Amino acid sequence: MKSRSFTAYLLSGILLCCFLLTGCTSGAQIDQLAIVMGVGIDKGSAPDNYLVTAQIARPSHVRTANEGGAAQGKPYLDIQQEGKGISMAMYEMMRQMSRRAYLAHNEVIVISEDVAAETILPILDYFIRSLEAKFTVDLVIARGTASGLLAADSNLEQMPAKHLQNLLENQVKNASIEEMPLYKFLSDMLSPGIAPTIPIMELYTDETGIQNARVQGAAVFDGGTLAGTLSAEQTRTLQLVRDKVKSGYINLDAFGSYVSLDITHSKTSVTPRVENGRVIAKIRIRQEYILIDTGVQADITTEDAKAQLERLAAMRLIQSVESLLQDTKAQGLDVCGFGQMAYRKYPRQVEALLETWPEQYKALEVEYDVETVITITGSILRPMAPKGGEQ
Amino acid sequence: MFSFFKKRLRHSQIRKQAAEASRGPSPKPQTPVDASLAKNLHGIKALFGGSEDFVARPFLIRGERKAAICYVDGLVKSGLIHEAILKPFMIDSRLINDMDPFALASMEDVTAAFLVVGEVRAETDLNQAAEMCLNGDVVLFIDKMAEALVVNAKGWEKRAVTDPQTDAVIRGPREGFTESLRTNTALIRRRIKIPELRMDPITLGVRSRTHLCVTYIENVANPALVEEVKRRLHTIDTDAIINSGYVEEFIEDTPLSLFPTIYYTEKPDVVAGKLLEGRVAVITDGTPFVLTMPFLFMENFQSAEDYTVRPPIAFVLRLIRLLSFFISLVTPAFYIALTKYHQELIPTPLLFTMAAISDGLPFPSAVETAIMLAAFELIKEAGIRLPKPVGQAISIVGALVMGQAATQAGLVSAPVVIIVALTAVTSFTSPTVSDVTTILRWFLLVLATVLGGLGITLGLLTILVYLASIKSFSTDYLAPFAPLQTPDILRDTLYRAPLWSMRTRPASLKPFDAIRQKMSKPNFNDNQRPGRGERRR
Amino acid sequence: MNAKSRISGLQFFTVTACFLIGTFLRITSITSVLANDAWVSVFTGAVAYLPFLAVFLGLVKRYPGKSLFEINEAVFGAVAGRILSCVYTYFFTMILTTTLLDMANFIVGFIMPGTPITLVLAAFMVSCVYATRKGLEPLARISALLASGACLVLVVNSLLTVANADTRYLFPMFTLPFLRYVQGTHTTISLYFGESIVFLTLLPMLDTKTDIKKPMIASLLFAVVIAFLAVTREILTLGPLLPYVARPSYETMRIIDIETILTRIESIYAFIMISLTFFKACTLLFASASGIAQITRIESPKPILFPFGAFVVVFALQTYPIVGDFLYWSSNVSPFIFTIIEFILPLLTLLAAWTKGFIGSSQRLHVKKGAVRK
Repeated sequence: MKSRSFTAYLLSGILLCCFLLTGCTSGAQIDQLAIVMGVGIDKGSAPDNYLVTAQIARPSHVRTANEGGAAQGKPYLDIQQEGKGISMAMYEMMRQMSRRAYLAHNEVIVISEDVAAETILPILDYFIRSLEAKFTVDLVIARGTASGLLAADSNLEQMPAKHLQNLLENQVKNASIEEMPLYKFLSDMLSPGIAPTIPIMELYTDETGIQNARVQGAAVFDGGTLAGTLSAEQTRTLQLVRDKVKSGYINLDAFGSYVSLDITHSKTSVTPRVENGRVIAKIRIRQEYILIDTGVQADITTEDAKAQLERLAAMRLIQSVESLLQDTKAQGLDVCGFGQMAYRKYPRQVEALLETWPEQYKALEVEYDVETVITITGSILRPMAPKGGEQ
Repeated sequence: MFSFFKKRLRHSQIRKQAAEASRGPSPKPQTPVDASLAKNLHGIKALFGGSEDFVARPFLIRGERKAAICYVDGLVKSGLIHEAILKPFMIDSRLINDMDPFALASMEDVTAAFLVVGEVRAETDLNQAAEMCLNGDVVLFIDKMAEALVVNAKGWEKRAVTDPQTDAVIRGPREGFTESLRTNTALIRRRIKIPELRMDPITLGVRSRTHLCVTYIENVANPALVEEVKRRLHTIDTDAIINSGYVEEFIEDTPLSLFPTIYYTEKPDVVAGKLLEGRVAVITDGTPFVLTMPFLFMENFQSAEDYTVRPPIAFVLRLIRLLSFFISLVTPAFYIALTKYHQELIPTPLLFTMAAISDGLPFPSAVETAIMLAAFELIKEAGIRLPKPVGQAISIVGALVMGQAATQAGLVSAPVVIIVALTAVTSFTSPTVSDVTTILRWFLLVLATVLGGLGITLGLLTILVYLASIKSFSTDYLAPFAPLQTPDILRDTLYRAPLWSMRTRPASLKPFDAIRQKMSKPNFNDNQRPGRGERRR
Repeated sequence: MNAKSRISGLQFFTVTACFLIGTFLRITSITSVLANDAWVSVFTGAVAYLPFLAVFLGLVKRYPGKSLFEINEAVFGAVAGRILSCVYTYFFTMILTTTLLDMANFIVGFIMPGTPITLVLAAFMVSCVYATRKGLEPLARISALLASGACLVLVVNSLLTVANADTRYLFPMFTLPFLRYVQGTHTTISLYFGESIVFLTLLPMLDTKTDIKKPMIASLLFAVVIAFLAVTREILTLGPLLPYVARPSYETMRIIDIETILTRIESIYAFIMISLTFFKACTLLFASASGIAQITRIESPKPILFPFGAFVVVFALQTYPIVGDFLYWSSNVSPFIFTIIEFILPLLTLLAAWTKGFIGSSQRLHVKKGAVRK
């Protein structure tokens, strides 16, 4: 018995050694990979075609902490290819590349406005199904061409794709936009009663003639199609309604000059209710400020002055929300997600309404309850200014 | 073809021998001591042949009765022979007026009133007497007495008690065992001063007649364990036991395995500690390494140092050792799996660095790592036996060649050198387990090359299952992790709990008396609340 | 295999716990049926399972220390009992095959695309056979480690996904038609809790004095807690994506994105999944081999393991060459097959045992009910 089991193990050992010779076909050394950092999608020359731009890193030209130093030249390479679908374009692209495209470190997917105006779902399908691609890759809509955006000057970063992604992250910090990773966009798209948004970036030429990228508002989607855009101001308001504001500022015109208030604390809660087959949303905003800058010479820290400023701030908030709602109601796009909130709370009553939510949204009533408080006024009590005529 | 392997290994035959437990050493020929002195001397001289160092010294008691002493020169204290044996018989006996040398009928009379030596024993077998000579005793024959007297006069050259070579500590005793059995037993007795500390003798080896001592504490060690150790020792029937390694190989549970199930140490305080936990020690004459059994896997990470430093520091040190073991085992395989199959796990900036570096390298990362690991093993093995003056130079050359030159020449990449260096350094934190990791990391390396992360996982699982299936003297090798024994884990495995909280002995050894101490946390500040134990009184 | 080594009650608990976590990580059908109300099926499943747990405990009480196959023969006699044992053995082989295939598809699909699936299955099976040949005692010993490791990973993963979790995804609750909840409960019982029947084959290894009730109930509770934690985490993180993804637990880990370092820790999930599947495969291998040994009256399953393992690999490759078919079968068809074998058969066995005892104790001559097979 002993020798038989020994035989068995020896045989299986030999077999396993044979496998050693074959190895695993998916194994690839690092220098056989083309690391794709960003993907751009434009409309192709033929109808129904996409023009895919892949921004591939050139590691030997990347300045890393390594002492060896980088070779001269751009640290990235843009390769373009047209195809009927993304995967077909990628396959065709391989014919130009000496290495396998590797999507695991892809930071950003840039989609041009024209493509988004039709539909972005077929594009996203490739990235969703792909096992290599990050599920958290950021989406960006480009005003203009995606390839142009990917060629923008990356002033502080090494690669434009990284620059774009860091741009997005930075904007989130001061609550001007909401970063939209792929999975989040899909979640919103699949939920009834909310219209997902993707940030818009555009190229602009500054004084020195260099082309830079900047964030300019957001694109609103209905299903998978671009349905409208929001301005930068409106996007900021959107963040306010979704309770994403952590810091920011408000500029008021009061007392003949400007008053700048820094937002220290902000909380928004939306309470929906259903009355007579209509949804009424009550928006409660509470913000706290400190006074950071003013051009008013008089003392505005008195109770009256503060009350007046607070009222002005509240009015400003309400105005911005109203303007946002007006625009979006005109197009029937519920960006803030009132429908979804109502459905979560009153599923049976709202379920029927959700069928035709774009229409219902136009009849949405909103009540406001805004509370603004100026807590501190800085380290000085009143502006330091010489009194007229006195020494 | 496979019978070729079978014959070579003879493993099954070793097993069969061990199973025949009743076989002990083959019986020796017996020759009784004769009453005639001449016959005895003739017999014993014949046994030794013409060996020069065997001395047979005849003399007369009180000038009348014939007697003789036999001993082996170099093994005895000459002073003792002259002063304590020859002088009383030859000179002092004349000082007693009415002493009749022919009145001495048996050795009892001799030892009762006459002989001034401590350890004496009567002996009736000539061969046994000869063996006693070889152990450093003096054999006394008296004419017309059918007994011989064996007198302990051991006094050979032995090494003084010095620092142990293998186990270095910063704080703690620096005595190490020597090659002499009696010195070693004394070193242990000095630390456990109760009569229940048993030293049961056993002689093994047909031609070496080596003395061993099975040491245990009577009411602490599990009696079944002691029985088992003795039983296994009695099955040894071999030519010679030169050092304790031989004993280990004959009685261990896993003869062919990489993992040792018996521990050896040079330090008496370590042995004392293990005896108090309920283990059994075997001391072998002729070697300073004492065996302790059973031996569990977690003991690899315990060192004597742990018990002399403060608890928080001991905690960190223990964790470092465990972590080092794991790192030293898995790192090369993990690196290969990462660079070959799982590049998505590497942070992007690092990926760029590695991609830039591996541009233009001749070998894939698996081959690189294998080359560097092999080079390191070669340097390590050579370095063990280097004479001191040359050692420094060779190690510098080795480091320079491996590290700098290979990287700069473009043969290997810098990350690989770092990985191998890390592996090397961490393999020395627990010296007892470093041999094991040396071999196992190759196994994992091959698995990682073929199957990546899956290979490493399967390899680790297989090793884990193998470890769980080993028993050391009926104690599970991975206790107290597998099976889970919570009090032990909290006391002395992953970390060392403070000494005052170690109330019981490790349960995995099934000690006879489990309670070690009744102390509680020391609290000598009178203003505060009474400590936990005090409240119960 | 060794008559001397035994498993304690605590080890039995950890063995069952390990097995159940391994089962849970595999199945997706719970969440695909009930979407954001999936957590309900965990509790309703546990409650619905209790009667069947009672059936098992009843059988064990009647025949202490005997494995499932021995109980069959004791109740139904040698021939009918062996036929029943054949059914059970086939069932265990089926679960083993599906588990292996699931894991292999996962590895080939997600972790290392391009690997020939034969290689994965063969390598895996070699390790399983090696481990099982030593008996299940070493595995039982390390099960504590595996189970704690898996729990730790689960907890840490849940903590890491808190940042991406959105409690609104739980709502609206209870909006689906009632029949879906029934379906979800049924799936949970048959694919998750019901696999506990395997533990009946491990009974001979227990210490004769251990009470099996406490470990079984403890493991049931453990299974509920783990399932609840995992399912809730998936609902909160994935929300509306839940019915669409193939493997929710895996996808939740893909979403974790902390700085640039912890972006792809789903490989840790893979590691845990492989370890737990290894454990589960070893247990099932042992169960099936014991069944065969019992049927063919071989003393110990050791010699069967190697050829049987090879057979399972080939069987797995041949039966479901297409992944899509396999997924469809395991979500929609297998719950019903499993229900019959996991619940109806033991129930019949227990009833037959009761009847036998009833007849025996009142010493009446009746046709033994056990001889009638439905």
